[in-house]
Amino acid sequence: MIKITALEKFYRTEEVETIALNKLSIEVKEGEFVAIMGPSGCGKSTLLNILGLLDDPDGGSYLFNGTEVAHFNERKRADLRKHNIGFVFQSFNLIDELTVFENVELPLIYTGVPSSERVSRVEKVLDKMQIMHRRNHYPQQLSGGQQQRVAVARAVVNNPKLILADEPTGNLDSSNGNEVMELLTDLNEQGTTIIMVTHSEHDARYSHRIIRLLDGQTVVENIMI
Amino acid sequence: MIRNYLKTTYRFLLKNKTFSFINIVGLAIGAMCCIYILLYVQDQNSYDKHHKDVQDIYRVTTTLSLSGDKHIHATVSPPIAPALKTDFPEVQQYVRVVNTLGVNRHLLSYKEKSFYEKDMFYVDSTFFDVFNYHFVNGSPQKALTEPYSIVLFKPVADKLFAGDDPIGKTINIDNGYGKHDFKVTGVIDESLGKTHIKASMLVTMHSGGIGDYVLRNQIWAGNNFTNSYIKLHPGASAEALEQKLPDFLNKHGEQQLKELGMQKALHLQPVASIHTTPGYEVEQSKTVSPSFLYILLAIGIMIQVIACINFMNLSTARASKRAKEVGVRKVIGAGRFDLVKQFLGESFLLSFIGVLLALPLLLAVMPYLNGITGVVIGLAFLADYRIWLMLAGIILVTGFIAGSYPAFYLSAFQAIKVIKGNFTSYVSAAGIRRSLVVFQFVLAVVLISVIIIIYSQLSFIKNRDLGFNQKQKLVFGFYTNDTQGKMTNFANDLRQMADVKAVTKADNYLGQFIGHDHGVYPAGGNMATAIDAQNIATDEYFVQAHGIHILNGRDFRQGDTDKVLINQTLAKRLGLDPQKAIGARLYTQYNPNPATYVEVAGVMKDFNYNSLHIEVRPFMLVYSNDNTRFVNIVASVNSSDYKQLLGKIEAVWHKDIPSAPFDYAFLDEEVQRQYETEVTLSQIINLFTLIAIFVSCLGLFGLAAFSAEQRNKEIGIRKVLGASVTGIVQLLSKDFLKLVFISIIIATPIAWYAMHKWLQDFVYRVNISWWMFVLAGTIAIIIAFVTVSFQSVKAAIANPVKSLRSE
Repeated sequence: MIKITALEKFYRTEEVETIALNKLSIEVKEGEFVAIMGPSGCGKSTLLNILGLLDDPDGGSYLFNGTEVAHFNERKRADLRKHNIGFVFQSFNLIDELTVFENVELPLIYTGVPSSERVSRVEKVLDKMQIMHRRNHYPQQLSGGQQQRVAVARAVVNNPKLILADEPTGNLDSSNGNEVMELLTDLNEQGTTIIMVTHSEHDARYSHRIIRLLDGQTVVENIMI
Repeated sequence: MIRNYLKTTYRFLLKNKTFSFINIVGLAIGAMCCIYILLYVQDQNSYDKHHKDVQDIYRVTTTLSLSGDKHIHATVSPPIAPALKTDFPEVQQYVRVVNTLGVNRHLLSYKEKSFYEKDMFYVDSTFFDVFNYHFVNGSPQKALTEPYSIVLFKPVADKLFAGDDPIGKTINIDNGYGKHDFKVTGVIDESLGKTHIKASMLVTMHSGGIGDYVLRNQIWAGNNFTNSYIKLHPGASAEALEQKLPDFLNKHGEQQLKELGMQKALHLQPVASIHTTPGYEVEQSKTVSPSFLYILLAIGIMIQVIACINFMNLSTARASKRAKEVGVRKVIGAGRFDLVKQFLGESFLLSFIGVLLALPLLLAVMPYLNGITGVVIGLAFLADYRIWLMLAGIILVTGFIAGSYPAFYLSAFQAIKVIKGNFTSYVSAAGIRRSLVVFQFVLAVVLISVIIIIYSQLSFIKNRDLGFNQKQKLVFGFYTNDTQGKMTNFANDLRQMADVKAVTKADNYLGQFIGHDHGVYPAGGNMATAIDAQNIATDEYFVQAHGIHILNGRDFRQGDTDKVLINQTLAKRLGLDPQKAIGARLYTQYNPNPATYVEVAGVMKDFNYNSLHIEVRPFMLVYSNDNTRFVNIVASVNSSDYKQLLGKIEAVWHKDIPSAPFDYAFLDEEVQRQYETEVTLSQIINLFTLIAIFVSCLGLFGLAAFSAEQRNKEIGIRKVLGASVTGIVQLLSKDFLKLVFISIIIATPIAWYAMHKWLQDFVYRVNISWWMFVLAGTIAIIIAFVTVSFQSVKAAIANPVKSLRSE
């Protein structure tokens, strides 16, 4: 599903050039659950941002479902993103002015889903995430775990083929963290490909495969059994 | 999608109350001012536009040079208009509208009712062929054909008849032309549209008085007092006709012009442009200068721009609050255009709310605004579809101006950066914000300077030594033959009163338009070299009553028939040495009459008998003991209790003149009335300037709040390290005050240039001096400082532990 080859990314300031990704090559098959680990600054998040088409690579190739997307323009990237990719962030990133229901509904609005269908799809996913009873609450009225469940609900409501999760349990206590990991595992079992950046060995164990990065390169890949 | 935008906007506004309040209030006030100013300008531009075929109606005007003096008159000699119709087939109709010169008040009586009215005009019977009025009663066809027929304006008709049908009724008018009955043939109002003819009644030219004089008049050079209008056949060219006018004038008036040494030219002025073309002498109603209307429009636009700038500044300043939202929306699929649409939508919504609030706000303050502008704008404007288009226009333009910059700015955030909380580099639109604050304050400082200079000029006019004493003078009018006959008694009775110092009778009083003038020349000269001198006929008390200074010679004495007192300017223009002018004879000769002369008894120091817009002109006081010439008494009094004095005078009046209502005026107020236009202008500008400054301050207040909030942690740390409250206030206010300083530097030359141009309208004017700008700057600094320090002090006295903990 995803194939990157010799991917490069540099960050330049006036005096220093930092290599974030150094000719990195990775392949992720459809239906896989991959964890990306490594120390701070190793390029995990940069990789996730490029995979999520939020950032441009400086070199190399990125095939998404066989299409070269490395140099897509803003509009094409937004289009690809909204139909294929869901995001889950460490800090939830819900819109404070919108209720739970409205936050989850938002991706459907941008993909032009008609209103009646939106309601049923949002309700279904809220139900699945066991957050239906909070549908009319605002994010700041929810606990961290609940907020992250809403964020996951928002990420999956469009039935994306790929979910990118950036330290999804980073701001949660262990029981809430486990709940979120269970949710992601369920989604993966239903066929969604998941790529997750994490610092937590515990969370990484939920995945099929761990890719460990150091200085922008793959150092080791562990296949989980 | 739109619902989602609306929801987000609504909740964002609700959550950020200061931001919302400042924007909505600013935009509402701005829109209110814009709407009112546009209505006012529309009103001023609407004069005379409603007449049928208005594009074919012209006023005939005169430019004339007489002994080097150039005059532009709104009026022409009486026989010109009818001759234009006779001589030129392209002229379809003509009408003359004649002011009752020197006869200012008319005593109207019907049954038991009797009161004075002003503004009566003698008009040709063709009046309603040229001008369109709505007839409340009667019809235009034969309204003015019969001698002594009269058409009343509705307010006068209401006063006289109070609900009775006025048509066919006979009313009596008593004035300087005698006492006559008139038959009411119509009642009209201005509901079709306003006109420059400020009348309260129209009588047909065949009604004696000055009408008769006009009908018989064959003077082609002088007597330029007749408002004359022509209506051309459709398609006829006014330019072509205007080119034929010099020959036309020569054909009829060459001889007379030569005898008077007068050069004269006729022009055609479109009637629809009269109200907005100032500068004519003998104009019959107040005009408005287009530059004033432009200034006003500019101020209206400025206020709205200031409100828009508030929106831009506060939106970009608070961008950090929106940044996450932008990032999230982008991540889940929003394109940049979606976000631009969203943020523009927000500003359109705010602008819509602003305009929506502006309407009730406007209705609430309308009477007050009308009171200042002197224009009646009622609710009727709401029925005009163009107003709604205009409102839609204001919403769209404001929404776009206010919203475009924030929309493009906010939507340009890179999702990944703002989501990670790294947006510091983005929110530093500080440079642009600072420029916008400077721009706002440049506008504010220019407006404050304008107020100061207008105020200085007006108080200069008010307090200037006019060369005569205008204080403690009472003016009484005698407008009918009956009252004129009794004025000597009244004057004598006044002289008996202890508080009355001097009493004089005259055919006019100072500060009024002087309609009497004629050419005079010394021995050896002729009318071709005569100097045109305005004059007032009066008795031997005028100089004393007004405190006029006599340089040479003596004041009038009783029985000084054929004596005159001339002013310095007239002496100079006649080439007379003031020392030797005494006893000089001044001649006048209008064909076919033989020359007559008057003798100079004294030379008066120049005094401003006209408004300060014009220089002192050649002028003389003419002695007369003919009571029928006099219409005014001026009493110089010395009283600290006017109420008591006026009570006593009223009693005397009723004893001497029981037939007429008691009426008086204060001379100084009458003199000041000449500057009504400037006073109104200054009041209008003051008002809108204050509003502009208020809206600027709203924005500054918001920005200061934002800045204090942003520097919360810094303030906390500084306080912990020992900074004083004053130190913190200084720290926070310094940045804003710097901007105000820059504004003052930019604004000063702009204000100087604008006001220098405005002052050119006055012959006597204040000098623009440095202190005016220092004052304007100081006011701006104080206003800015007070606004900002409210927030700074709040931040400075806050508990530092709180701000540090919240980080």
